[in-house]
Amino acid sequence: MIQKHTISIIVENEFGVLARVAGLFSGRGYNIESLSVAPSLDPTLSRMTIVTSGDNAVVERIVKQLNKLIHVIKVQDVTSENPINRILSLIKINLGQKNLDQLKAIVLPFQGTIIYQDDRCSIVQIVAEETVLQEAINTLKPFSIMEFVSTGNLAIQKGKTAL
Amino acid sequence: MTGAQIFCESLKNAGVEYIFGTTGASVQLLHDELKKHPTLKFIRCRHEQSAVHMANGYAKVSGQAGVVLVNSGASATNTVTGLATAHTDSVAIVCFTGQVPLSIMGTDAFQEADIVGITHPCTKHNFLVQDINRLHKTIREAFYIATTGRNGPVLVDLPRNLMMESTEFTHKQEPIKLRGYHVVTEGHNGQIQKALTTLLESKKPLILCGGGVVASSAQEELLELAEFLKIPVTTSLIGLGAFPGQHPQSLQFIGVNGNTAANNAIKTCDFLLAIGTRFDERATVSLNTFAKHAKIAHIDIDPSSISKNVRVDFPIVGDVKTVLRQMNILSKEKKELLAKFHTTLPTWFTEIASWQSSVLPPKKTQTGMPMKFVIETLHKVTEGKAILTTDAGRHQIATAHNYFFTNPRHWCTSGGLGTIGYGLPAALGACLADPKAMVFCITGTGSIQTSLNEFITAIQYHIPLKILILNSTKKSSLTPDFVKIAEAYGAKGIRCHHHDEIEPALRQALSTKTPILIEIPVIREEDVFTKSVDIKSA
Repeated sequence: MIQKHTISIIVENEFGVLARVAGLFSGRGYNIESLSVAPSLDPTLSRMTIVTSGDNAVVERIVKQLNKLIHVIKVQDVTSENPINRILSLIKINLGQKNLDQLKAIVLPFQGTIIYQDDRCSIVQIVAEETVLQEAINTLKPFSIMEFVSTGNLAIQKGKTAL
Repeated sequence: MTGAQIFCESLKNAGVEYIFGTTGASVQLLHDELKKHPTLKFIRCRHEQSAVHMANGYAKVSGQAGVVLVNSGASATNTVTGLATAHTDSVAIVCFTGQVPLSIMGTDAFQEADIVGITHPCTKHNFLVQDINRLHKTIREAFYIATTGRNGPVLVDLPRNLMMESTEFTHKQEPIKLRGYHVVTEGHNGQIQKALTTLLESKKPLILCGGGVVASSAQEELLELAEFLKIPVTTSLIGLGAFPGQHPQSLQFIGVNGNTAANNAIKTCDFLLAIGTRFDERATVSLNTFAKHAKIAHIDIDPSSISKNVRVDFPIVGDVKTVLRQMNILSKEKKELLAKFHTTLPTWFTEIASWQSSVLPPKKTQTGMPMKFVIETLHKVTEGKAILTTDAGRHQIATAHNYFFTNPRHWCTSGGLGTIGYGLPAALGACLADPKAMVFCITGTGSIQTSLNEFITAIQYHIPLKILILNSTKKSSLTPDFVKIAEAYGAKGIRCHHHDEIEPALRQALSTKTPILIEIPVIREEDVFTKSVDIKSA
């Protein structure tokens, strides 16, 4: 059964690591739907979050092959742990200052904030799960979206467990 | 010390004797320094692909890492096929490539190539050294990664500027710490017990061993276990020699090109103990029907290999030699189970014997002979003790079927990638790894032409290369006169016309200390496979 899986990876913050991880996916025909990477609290380590889709056997194979890479320190498929997922999106709307209140009312239910506006545009920031984000985009479409920039999905487990 | 000096000291610390490769601008400083270290012997090859194959043959026979040093740019990219060959067959190689100075990297400089990027998928790991202070550490890590766990090729890219820079160097060896790389040696005792108990309750058990048994030098432990349990043993193509070929319990090898008896045993067995094999599709043929009646135990040092292709009931991660030792100890404690187990085995062996006895022997003819006859004669003349290398093709399969190896480090062939051009350079590497051994490269008329240029390397370094060309081409085909080519290189060339010329030619090759080439016409139409009645899956 094909479903989405979120994989969290702790890697050495070294030259070429991202290329190697991405290369492993592309080289074997696995799909990367979204990817997020940044240094962790330990500057010698980076944390990657990758969303891929496949059946359980394929994803298990991906996890094992990621583990094989010398610069990969820890890998976990966190999907079944029911983590908290968030995506940060910046959406530029073609709406000047006069309709600001209307815009604020629209984005409020999606935990959106207006982080910039001038005469020609407003920039909305939404931090939410993918489904909430999708609804927000649908609601904002009539206002003509000029630009859309988004991070990949970030996932963090609840409780005591930490990667 | 300068980077070049650190390079040489690091190689000496790693116990390196031979370095295979080519020269060029980016590595000139290294070569200038190498000349001052006579224990490090550089073998200059004509092509970098062959240099890596030489290191491959050297590694397979010696059990140590094969070392390569090549220039930047085209020289580096020429190593890719060699590295991919080694990667697929898990052979330990450390390949140093020169690189343009760091200050001009990324500017499409002369002889610049992103070799680290290019070889990501075909090396176990690779490094670009960007800081002279990390040079020694990187070289040590490269050898460590190449030769531990599941062996593989490691590439180290060396920018030219580092060779001139200097830094402090100490011979003190700190323990290597790689946070993301842990090798499991001992197998889980509980898993081993479970696997062993189930094996001893089975009626049709079978051992399948692969390249992992060779890499782990576990042939003694394997023999002890197989003889104690008294069960049949089969191998993958590159596992040949892990178990003595003429042992009464040996079924030779499985797969698309394998022995029918071995394949039938796989289809029929109810317990399969797979040791150091990756269940390659050439071996399994059809995953739907592979050992479908059997419970499977899989011993492998690479956890990603377990349950990758074939579902496994008893996964055991660990070093083959160590796990087999554990298994040998545990099996001696199971005397009761063993006694009952041994009573049911004769029926299994009788079934296996029925498949083996229905093999039809091929016929000898006057003009052109079966490949089988040539290889059998070679086996007789060398008493099964020669090291054989091959290219890819019918000659490779004919050799695998008809030469019964007694030693696992005597069979050098490109299994996973099926690389043509492997045979000749691998034979050179094998000769240097074991100067006392009889080494033969068995090849075909097409294959030999891929790396024929390395003949001169054999002449230059006085390597006793022995080439056996099995010529199965039709008279109308265009092939050069190999005997004349050998003579042009300053070597001896012999062409056998009749089957009773083969043995004398081979004996002459054994007594010659200089390179020799023997061409033997063989039948093209002959089926190299031993054919017998193939049972249908139940």
